Amino acid sequence: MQVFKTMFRVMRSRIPSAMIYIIIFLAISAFVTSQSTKDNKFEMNRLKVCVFDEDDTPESRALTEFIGKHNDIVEIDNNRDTITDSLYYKTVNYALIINKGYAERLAAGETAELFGSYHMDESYSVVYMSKMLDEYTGSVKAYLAMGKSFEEAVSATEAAMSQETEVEMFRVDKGGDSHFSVDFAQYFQFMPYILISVIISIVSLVLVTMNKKDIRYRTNCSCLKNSKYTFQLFFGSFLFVLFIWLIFMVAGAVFNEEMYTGRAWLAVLNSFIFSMVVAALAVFIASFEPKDNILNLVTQVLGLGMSFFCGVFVPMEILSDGVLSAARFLPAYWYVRANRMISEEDAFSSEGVMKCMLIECLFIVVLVLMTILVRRLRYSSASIGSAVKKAAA
Amino acid sequence: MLKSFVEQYTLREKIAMDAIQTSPEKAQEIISSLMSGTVSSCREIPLTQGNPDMYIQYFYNLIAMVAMFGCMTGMHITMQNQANLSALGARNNCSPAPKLVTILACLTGSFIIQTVCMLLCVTFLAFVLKVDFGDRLPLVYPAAILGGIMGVSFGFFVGSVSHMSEKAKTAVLMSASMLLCFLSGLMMGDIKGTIAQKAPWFNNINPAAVVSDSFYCLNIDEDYTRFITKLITMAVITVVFIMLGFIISRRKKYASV
Repeated sequence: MQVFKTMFRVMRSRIPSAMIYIIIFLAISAFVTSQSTKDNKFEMNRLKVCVFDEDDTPESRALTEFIGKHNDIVEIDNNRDTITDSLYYKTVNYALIINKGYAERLAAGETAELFGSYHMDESYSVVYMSKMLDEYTGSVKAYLAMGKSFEEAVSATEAAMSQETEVEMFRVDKGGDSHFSVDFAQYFQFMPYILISVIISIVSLVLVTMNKKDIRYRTNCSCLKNSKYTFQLFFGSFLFVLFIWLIFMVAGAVFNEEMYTGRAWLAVLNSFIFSMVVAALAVFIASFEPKDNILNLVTQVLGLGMSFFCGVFVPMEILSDGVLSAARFLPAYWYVRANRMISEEDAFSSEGVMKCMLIECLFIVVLVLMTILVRRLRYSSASIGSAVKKAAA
Repeated sequence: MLKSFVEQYTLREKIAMDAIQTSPEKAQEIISSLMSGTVSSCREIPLTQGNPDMYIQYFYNLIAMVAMFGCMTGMHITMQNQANLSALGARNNCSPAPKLVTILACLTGSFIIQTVCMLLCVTFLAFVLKVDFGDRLPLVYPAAILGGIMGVSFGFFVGSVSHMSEKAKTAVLMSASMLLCFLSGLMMGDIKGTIAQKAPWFNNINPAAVVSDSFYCLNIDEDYTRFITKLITMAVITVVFIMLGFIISRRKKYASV
């Protein structure tokens, strides 16, 4: 197993740079998973509302308290830039101002322009909150018309508006399969970028090093059989890819806080197949014997290009149809599609997932065939002969 | 939406029943006032004339990423000036030309190349992909160019810090710039908002966030105060990186190569 051992000796020198990618990826994943929830139940969305109470009367405070029962009251500075940023980045969904004179005017039965709201764009929260405020003021006005005092009208309104409607969901809506939540699917979704960066940059580099002219000539004239040599090379690459993939799977189980169950195993299988695709891609690239800086460039272009085109970094919904139809020719697209189906972001069907995985396997077959073809052409006695002649000339 | 519609219905039903029970003579009037569309109790105060689409910030971050990738150009300057890393570096180190001059010349060349990249990038996004940058597109260019220059100086600084091999430097720089871009919202749009809540200072020093924020301010704000602050921040970060890079690379001696 001389070749095998040499391979790992070369790999060992390249491991530190690979570890940097892996550690950063794991750090980001730890951060993302710590923010996620595994809850798939229907819950009325609690909006994040900030209230600037310019009236500051018991009535306006009662309204703030009432809003706070169904929503989260967020406190931010009353400063235009802060409010703009918060609304843009959705850390606040609705910014409400209770205008001065609110209590007096409402007691007089006036409902027009009691509030102001900072407006960024037309969204669900804007429509929902302004409807809720209209209902509130309309109801108070109605109770006042019945002859109730202002305090009674406010408490009757609050009681009436606190009637909850029971909602039962018949289908888990985008919450993902209980074994494989949408949030955990994110971990698998970002994996292609890191697999491509690590595997191609190391496996290709090692293969290129092993394939350098002098080393190859030396190996060729040794007593080692060619088939044995190729086997050791492939076996070494396979073990390395398996090792990298295992690191991610173990880390995934740690982040998920439990062993994979149910459909999560499909995601594990999917990622394994994709690792093999990347390994085949690495062997294919290595067969061109690129120089170091070219290999770097190819790794970055493939990693970033596939990630952006195939919905790894940017959600698939945002990508245009044109981009997606071009992405079909790339393996990462099928990986992401299968992953989305498994997490039920897209409708799950076992045939669909199998189809995606089969297509990924086809990529492996095609890449292996192309590698064989390229190697035949490059190392055929005819091409070596002409290279030698050229060198001699 | 359906839930709130059902709740609105039950609320109105309850008020109507209450009205019939407590004051039947006014019930008809109250019910008709409930049913008739009332004037809105809420006046909307528009915050911006710009494009409020949150997805556009993915493009801001994409430009920030291109700017940050200028670090690879910056790193090559140090490769050419460190004797243990390239033959050119060894030759440069034994030449009588002052290091400051050599490096400044390399930096200027890299800045020009990065400027061309940034110009191409913004032009492509604005005119081919038709991304809406608001109505102040001409100002997007200087911000992008300054971002690119900052990226180059970032690479120059990181490259100068250590004498690692090219591979290791590339890995460090790629991971660092991807991490900074991640924290600025390249992969998850709402992360910048979360950071703004928990550690607002970080968005002011994260180079990728500063670049993408400058486009955001240009689009959303009516005045130029924050935009200019972001440009100044970029300039300061650039100067700091270059100064540190120079300080680290000066007077370096190689006993043997």
